[in-house]
Amino acid sequence: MKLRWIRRSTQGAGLLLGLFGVTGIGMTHILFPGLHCYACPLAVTVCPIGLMQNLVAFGVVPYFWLGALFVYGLVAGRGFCGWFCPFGTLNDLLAFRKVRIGTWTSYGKYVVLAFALVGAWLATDTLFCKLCPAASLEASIPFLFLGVAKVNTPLLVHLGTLAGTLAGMILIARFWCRYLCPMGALLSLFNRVSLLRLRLDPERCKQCHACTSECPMGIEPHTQHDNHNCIKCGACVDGCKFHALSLGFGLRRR
Amino acid sequence: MRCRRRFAALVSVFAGLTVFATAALSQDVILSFEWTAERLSVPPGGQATIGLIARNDAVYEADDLELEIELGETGFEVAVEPELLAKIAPFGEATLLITVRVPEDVAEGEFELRTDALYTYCIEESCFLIAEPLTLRVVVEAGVDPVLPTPVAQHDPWPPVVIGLVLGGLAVSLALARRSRWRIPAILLLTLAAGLGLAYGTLRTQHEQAKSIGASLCVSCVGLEPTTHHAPELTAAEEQLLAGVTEASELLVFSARWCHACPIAKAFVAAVDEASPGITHRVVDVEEEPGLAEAFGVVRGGRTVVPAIARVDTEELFFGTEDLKARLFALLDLPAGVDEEADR
Repeated sequence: MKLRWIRRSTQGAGLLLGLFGVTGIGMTHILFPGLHCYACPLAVTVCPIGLMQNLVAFGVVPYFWLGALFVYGLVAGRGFCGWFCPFGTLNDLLAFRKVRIGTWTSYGKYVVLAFALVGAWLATDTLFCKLCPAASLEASIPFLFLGVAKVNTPLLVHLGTLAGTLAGMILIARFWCRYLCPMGALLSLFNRVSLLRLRLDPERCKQCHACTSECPMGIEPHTQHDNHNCIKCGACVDGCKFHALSLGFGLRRR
Repeated sequence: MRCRRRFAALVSVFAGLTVFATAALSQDVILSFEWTAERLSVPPGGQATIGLIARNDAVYEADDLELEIELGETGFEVAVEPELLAKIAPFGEATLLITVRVPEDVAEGEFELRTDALYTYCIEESCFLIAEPLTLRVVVEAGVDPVLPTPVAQHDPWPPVVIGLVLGGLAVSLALARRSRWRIPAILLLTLAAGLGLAYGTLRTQHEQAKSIGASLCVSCVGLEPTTHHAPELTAAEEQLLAGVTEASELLVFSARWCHACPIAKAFVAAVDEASPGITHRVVDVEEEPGLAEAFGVVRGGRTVVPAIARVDTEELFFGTEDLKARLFALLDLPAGVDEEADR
């Protein structure tokens, strides 16, 4: 079976977990391993970026948050972006143009992460949440219909960031994941050591660049298989007819 | 035989002394306290709120924490919320909000209010009552901002410093460790760090904090309304209008500990309560009284939305602090814009 179809099922599971609140179990202690707003009426897990900002604003050193982040990072690193995150799935659905645009721009997500962290500390407020397109989609719009939110400046700001992000996703595949996602920035730190890894067999690789043209993140998988931008989606594995690339769990590097 | 008896007696005395010494030594403070600001600045005739963070640094649960504040001849009025905190879990923390109301005719200057934090804790059968002396500094000064924007929020540098160091250190070390032989030791070290983080965080009840932050939706936190930093003030005409409201009416202010806008709603409703002989109010912690929140429709789509202000007799409510004064007056069936009428 092609990896793409397995991935569609795990992405479906990610969406289902995001909507699990419909069962009425309420909020749990679990941090979501992706970007999913905890204000979403159906959320049962906590958004790591929102939690980080709240704890920083209230002066709490977040040991539990760090521990959970390390667990997710060690298991799959950015694999969660490619295989589980609902906002990543939305990026995937709109990934029409797999273009390659300057590598330095991909460091923008670290700037967004720093903004979320330092902004929360300086303003003692969750500044990033007020701009987050996931919150726009999963909180602002639903709560407008639930009679809690009103059409006001913050809602228009939210709709603006969502529209901009959606336009970016249509123009550049995985636009949010590549350039702006702070959760992707956190998980990318573990890409080099995570148990889920993309492996390359150099003897089979013919340098045909078929993997590069398949990669939604605009990297060269045959030379950068532990790049911080690799979401381990397996598109390159499916695209390589020489079976030089493979994806799997393991301790060893190759 | 004699030797054995002597030995047994010595052991008994030693054991007794040990138990006594342990109990005596254990009768020690287990809570550490920190004010959210160095001093509380209040204008004459105004009120302001300060937070007192109580951290439990011990493995024992602290119970029944309450504050005794000596007001002496100052004429101040003080309200502590909650009045009695039932428990603080081992390695947990909690915040008490102290609101000080200063009379109009008080002389400007700095006042030091002696405050005793009283609590108990038990080690098996032995329980101890602790009275920790603290000082609350109140500065009465004309023209200062009467309400702190978010009393429990603070610019504590440690959280961003720790996060920055951990993530920065991780990024640099993993970037440098390119050789494959570093991979397994790095995984082992990170696994250890993950386990320690989760275990220590759980001991400090941070998993509960995560759940409670996720469960309550603070309307300004995710940008459902603009962030408010100040409670609206009542004008003389509005105070006069409220003074004429004698019909009994109770307001409930639904709030949560992590809500940034709740102190604003609480401060304004308290001011309305103070100005009116008929209006009373009660602050409801949605985590402690989820049933009441559910009954008043504060739970929307599975999220408890705070702050919410409800009128008990009509069961009407509204969310947030945007246009707080106008919406609260509408909830109380009071005319809006009394100032314009007074001017005419």
